[in-house]
Amino acid sequence: MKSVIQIKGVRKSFGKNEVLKGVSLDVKTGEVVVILGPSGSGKTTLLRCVNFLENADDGELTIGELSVRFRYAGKKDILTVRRRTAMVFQNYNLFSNKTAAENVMEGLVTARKVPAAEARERAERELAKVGLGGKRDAYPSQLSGGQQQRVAIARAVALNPEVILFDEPTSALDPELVGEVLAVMRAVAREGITMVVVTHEMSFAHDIANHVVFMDDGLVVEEGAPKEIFFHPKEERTKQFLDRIQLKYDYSI
Amino acid sequence: MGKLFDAALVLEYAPPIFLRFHVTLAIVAASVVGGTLLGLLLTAAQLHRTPGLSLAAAGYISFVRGTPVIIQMFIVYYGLPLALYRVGININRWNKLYFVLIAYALNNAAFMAEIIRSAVLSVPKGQSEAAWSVGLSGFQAFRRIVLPQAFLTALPALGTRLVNTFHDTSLAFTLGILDMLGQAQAIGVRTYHVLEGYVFAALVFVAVSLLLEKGFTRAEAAFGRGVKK
Amino acid sequence: MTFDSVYVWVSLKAALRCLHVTLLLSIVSLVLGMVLGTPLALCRKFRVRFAAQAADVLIPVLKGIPLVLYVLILNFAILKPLDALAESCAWADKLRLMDKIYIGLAALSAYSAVIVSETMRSALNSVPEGQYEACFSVGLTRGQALRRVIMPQALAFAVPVLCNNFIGLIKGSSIVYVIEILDVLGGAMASAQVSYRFLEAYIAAALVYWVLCAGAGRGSKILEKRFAGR
Repeated sequence: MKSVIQIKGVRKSFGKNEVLKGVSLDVKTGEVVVILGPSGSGKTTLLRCVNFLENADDGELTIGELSVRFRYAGKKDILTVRRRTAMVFQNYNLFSNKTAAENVMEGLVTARKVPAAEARERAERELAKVGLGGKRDAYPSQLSGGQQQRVAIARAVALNPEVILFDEPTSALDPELVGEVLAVMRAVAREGITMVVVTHEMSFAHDIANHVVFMDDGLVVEEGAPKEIFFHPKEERTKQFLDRIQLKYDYSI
Repeated sequence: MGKLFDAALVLEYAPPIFLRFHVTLAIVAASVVGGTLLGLLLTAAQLHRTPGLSLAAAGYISFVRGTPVIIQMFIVYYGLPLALYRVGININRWNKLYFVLIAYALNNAAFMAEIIRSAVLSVPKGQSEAAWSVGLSGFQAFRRIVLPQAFLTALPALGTRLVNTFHDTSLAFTLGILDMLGQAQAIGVRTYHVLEGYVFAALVFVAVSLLLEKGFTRAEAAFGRGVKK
Repeated sequence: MTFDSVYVWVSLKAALRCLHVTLLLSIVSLVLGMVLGTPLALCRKFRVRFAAQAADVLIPVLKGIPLVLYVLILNFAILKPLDALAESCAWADKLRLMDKIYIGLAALSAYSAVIVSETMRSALNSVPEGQYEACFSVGLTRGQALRRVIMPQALAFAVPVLCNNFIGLIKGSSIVYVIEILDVLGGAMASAQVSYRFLEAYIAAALVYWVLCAGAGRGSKILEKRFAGR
């Protein structure tokens, strides 16, 4: 299968604290990659580096035929990468001065020069798909967290990107709202859209992921098919993490 | 000597004084337009990484905010011809009003820069990040996402600033500008009745200030519909 | 025309000789503004009959008048009747030759009372209703609640704004120059009447105000930290 996005040897330090110590990742077309790991393991930073929201100190990114060294990426490269990817943030980051539909349209009209009428049509279609057809004229402040995140997913999907990066999309949500967002993400995955997901939702990872990556302390400790990672982890650190998470998971039910 | 205050004279002096209101408006307009443009430049300089540039901008803002506008006006009036004469431009024949317009624009720029800067910084970083993530360029993200939100946050401060600018124009008469106050004084010199003119000018200031305040409250409600968190 | 920094120095010395006038004007008007403005704000907050209604109308109106008009109108309204009275009463004749600084003080304090009352009102409004309710729930009277809970919280909000008001008063005090009071600006200008070095004099005066306002700004930061810590 073809790779959509490849990252090699990403390094990133904040001051003296080295958060990523040479991480590589290969995401194939149509794959759902779930990145697991304790907090502080660098998984969010990795995602942010891919979208150039953090400037990685070293490493290389390949997306399609475009290959860039993080350190030497110019404005044009960054814009190209961003226009081929989309991101869903932990705290939604919907444009607070725009309605739900306008949020979805913004990237289409301004960045991709899609005619407004066509963009509006696409926005309405995507909002309907996430179950918010009736909320297109609502401002973010009038929506619940779960609804905001669903708009954010519609905003990402509408761009028809080669890959969507999900940065802990459910961790800012009240527990009763997590389900609706995960359901939407499942639907997106079923459409065959390539996804990279940083999450703590084990059941989601287990059901949807094609590939699971376990990170700890700025490194990829172990990766493979979900069955292998969840039921036959090879590394001690993976086992410990899974035990802890599973325990919490059982507990909360 | 006559009466101390003659209400009838307030009405009599009203038309000639109000006829000079356009001078006040011209000064306000220059402060708003010039001040906003220069203020944006100052903000850009202040948020810029070049240390010399941001320091110079900060120094300018501190000076303007730390000195009375009446002094700034006279410094421009006496200093600008001198500075320009050195580079070969002679503006000694300029109308005094031009100096006042420049002085007030320079003054307002510092205040505008402060308002713009804190408003821009108040927009959460995530808004820019989301804009970049959907493929907007840095400038597009600033213009379409950050600036509209910053404008909304800044609206109350902008309203106060506009009223203050309007009040500050009342000092232009000290340079001999024939605005409302200048006219009131001129009438006072002629007729020995100066209080009536002052009172009328005060009434105009009060009325316009109240109107501006009401207008901005309305604007906040209109622009902020649904958007405010 | 030329620029000679020597004259800046000359005017600076002249301006500094009148520094006490500027300090007196701005500090006294701030204090009087607080003394008069805080009760006004309290009256409006607690809807004290008559006083609240009167303040509701008067304060927005008075806020709409520029400071220079306070100075000009009060100067005229105080001196003119005295001039008239002076012909018949000896005390009025004496009084009309008083130091004009009192007129300046009256004008600045009136202006300051209006500004400070608005500051205190928004400070009082910044304290959540729940704080009052909590006070009453533990049996405090309104006065006790104000003194022990509400005011300390309101002050934390008010201090930076009051410092800003103070900076406004320092700068605003220069306006009394139009009724010929010898403050920092007046002192600098007096020195220029001899030399005709106006630009230098204005720059000298500006420097003094700049230092004063920057100092007040620095003081504000320190006070803010002190109050925020509580």
